Amino acid sequence: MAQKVIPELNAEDEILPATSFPLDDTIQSYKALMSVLSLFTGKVNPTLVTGDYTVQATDQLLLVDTTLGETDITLPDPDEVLKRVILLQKTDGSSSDANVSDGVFSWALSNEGETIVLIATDLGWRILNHYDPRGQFALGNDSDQFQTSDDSVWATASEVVVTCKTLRPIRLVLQGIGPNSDGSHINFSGFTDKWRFYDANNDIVICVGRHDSAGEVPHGPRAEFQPPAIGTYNFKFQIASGLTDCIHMQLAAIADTR
Amino acid sequence: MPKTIIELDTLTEELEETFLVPVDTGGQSFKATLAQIRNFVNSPEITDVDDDYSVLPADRVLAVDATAEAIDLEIPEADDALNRVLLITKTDNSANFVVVDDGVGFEFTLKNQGEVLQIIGTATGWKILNHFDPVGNKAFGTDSGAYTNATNAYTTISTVTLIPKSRRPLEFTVQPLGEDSDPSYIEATTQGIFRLIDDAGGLGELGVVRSSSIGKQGYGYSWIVDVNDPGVSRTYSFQSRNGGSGTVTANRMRLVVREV
Repeated sequence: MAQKVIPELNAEDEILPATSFPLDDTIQSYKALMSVLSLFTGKVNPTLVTGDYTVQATDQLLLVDTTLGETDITLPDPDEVLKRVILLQKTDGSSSDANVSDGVFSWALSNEGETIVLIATDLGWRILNHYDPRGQFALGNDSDQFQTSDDSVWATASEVVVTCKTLRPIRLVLQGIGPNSDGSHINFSGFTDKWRFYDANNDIVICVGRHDSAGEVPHGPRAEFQPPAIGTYNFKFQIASGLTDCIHMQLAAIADTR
Repeated sequence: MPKTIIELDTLTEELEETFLVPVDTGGQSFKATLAQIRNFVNSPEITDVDDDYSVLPADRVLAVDATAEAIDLEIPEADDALNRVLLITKTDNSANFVVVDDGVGFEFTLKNQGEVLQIIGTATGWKILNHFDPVGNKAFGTDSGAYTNATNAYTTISTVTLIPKSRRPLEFTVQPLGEDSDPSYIEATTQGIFRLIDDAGGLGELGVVRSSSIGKQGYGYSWIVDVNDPGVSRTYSFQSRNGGSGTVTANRMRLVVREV
């Protein structure tokens, strides 16, 4: 039996309506959707990327190493590659992002192992799946031996900056991280103590609470915050009080995953 | 005119750079319609597993039933499976784990029904492309019962064990599980020192808090903790001592941990 080399297999990234399949023995132009064949064979062909990169027609999975710095990945115009599926993963643990964009759609891969699956539609690039082994999570500073004695000024005990990639609610938790020799607590004065969660970037007061009972409280307030928009938020835990200590407390922020 | 074709699954595992397709003139050539390929993709061959198993070159999707016993699923080293994608799911709702292991550093445990892991072999080992867990990774600790400690040495109120599966943070909460006739609470008569600790795992104290001048409290202790070493089983304890005098008591409280 004769054999013919069909190099077009690696050259075609989508099936055209007029594509001919071998209905007879003379047709040599077997063309197939690469991703379909890849699934069929149980394999994909990753492209290793270490710098700014424009997605090519044959790319299926981009493994992006941002060790050298922020990396821009340029997607094609979705109208020109309708129904095309592409996977992108950040592979390194550096703090640099892999910024994926076509000029309209954009997504930053921030965490090691973070993976996004995109499909080109006539409404633009859409997310089919997003896997993030770390999530949107940040820990704020240790309040240390924080003390405030002015009930007319909001003083910050701990703050944290979070970039919200989605509109999932953010949970804010003030938690004790003190050592055994210096246990964490909030020691309210017993007068008109007030505390609040505040977003300094957008001047949003998330909630305000009051605590009039004196004594050392071993845990802090919690709150759920619905981001009004995708973006960066600077959350602060603040107190306005005649005399309140906030010892070794830390503001933690995390996006809900479900 | 269309002709009957081929066993699709007899195609080579390797998609060569130059793919050789037989095109003889006798009508027995390689033929595959798009519909057939799509049908294969939509209905992939699934390998059913219900015992310890070593993944074979032809395996793509593995459905693992651990009803009878915990299952070790041995996958090849990534170097021997470059670019290969595997999808593994646990199908049963038993408490038995499915441990996916390549023997050289990649290990992942499926514990919940419907949990799905998709991985790819790369030059730097197996990498996770996707993980879906409809239940979530969580564990409930021991019931404190009627705990009491009047000393200045820590003792354990509740303890819990979990294998973090990713670098997602863990949320610890000390939760009540009391009843109407026996409600839950924590109380320090003078001063109480409370801590969350990974004693056996070497991470030590994850947070220590202090309370005084408080009566019975039925809620409130919680921590969110970073994870740096997923895959390692850890046992965490919620402990307490007095601050030099008095008694710390806890009634029907337990430590709960979940990956968030």
